[in-house]
Amino acid sequence: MKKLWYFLSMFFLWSAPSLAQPQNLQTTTLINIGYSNVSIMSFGLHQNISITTASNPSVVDGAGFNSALIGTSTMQYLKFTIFGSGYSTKSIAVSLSAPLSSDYYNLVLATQTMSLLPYGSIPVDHGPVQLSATSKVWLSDIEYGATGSGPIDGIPFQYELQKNPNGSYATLSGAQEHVVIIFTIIE
Amino acid sequence: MKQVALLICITLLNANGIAQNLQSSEWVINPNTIDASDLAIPYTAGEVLPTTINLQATEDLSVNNVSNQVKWCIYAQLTPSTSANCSIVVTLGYNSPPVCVDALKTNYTLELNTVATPFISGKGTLNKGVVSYSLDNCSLPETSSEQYQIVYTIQTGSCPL
Repeated sequence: MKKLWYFLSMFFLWSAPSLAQPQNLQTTTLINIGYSNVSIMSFGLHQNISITTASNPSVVDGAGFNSALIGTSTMQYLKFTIFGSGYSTKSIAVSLSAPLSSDYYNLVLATQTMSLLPYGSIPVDHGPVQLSATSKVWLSDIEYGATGSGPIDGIPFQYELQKNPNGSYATLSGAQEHVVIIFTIIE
Repeated sequence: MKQVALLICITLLNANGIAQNLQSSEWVINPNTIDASDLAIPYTAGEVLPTTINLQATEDLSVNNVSNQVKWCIYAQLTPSTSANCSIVVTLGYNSPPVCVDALKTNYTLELNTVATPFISGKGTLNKGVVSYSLDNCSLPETSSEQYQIVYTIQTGSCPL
């Protein structure tokens, strides 16, 4: 009997390591990734933008302000990176820091042809936008997107100086007018 | 009677060993939030996320109660997710004892997918295997958060080449 117990003991001792071998055991790790609500934008050109009007006034058309389109800026590009939040869209609004000094003309932001963004869908364009001290939505329905940061990446647009059909010639002055244009991301 | 007690002890030891072979030091990892500083050119409008984002997140894997002669393989698998924005990569770094890991059959850097894939091949006890995580090939996030669940499974035998 003792021999039998001895045999059984040895068997279990011998088999202990093999019984302890891994048997499809598992462990699980959960990684939570959080994204900040990133919305940043800038412009392709940072220098001052100018619209030059006619330099040779005449008796016939005065300062050259009689045509509907008085002057146009160079092409501008708005660049942005916007992370999605999953529950809301973002818009970009534009306004002037102060009203224009003359009502004879309007300053208009005119969107040019938009191509597909590298990431995200093309925003809904509400242009052309007549700029005023009141903020107006220019681009909307941006869930997420990035325009690229190259020199001509971004949403192309131009500033146009247009004649206001209801404006008064008497409000014109000979001085230059400087305006500050404010772009705002709205969620 | 003594023999019976010995048998019971051995049996209990075996059962206990099976229950504690593979362990990880973390259940849930919350890396730092990804923000504008993580863009390919930080804080630059128009930029997107870079090819690789190091999550600065690590955990320790360990294999215990295994005979020194027993070879094993840890498989890694990503559970299916519909909102995954990136690939997730796990990297084995420091491991102790180093002789435990079979370098020839270990995938030190592994891009996880929904199929269990051989990761670490070893033998005997692994006291500590430090694994770190990074994101690869991310597009812009469409939501404010994502979850990746990784399942590690241990099986006997070396990892297949």
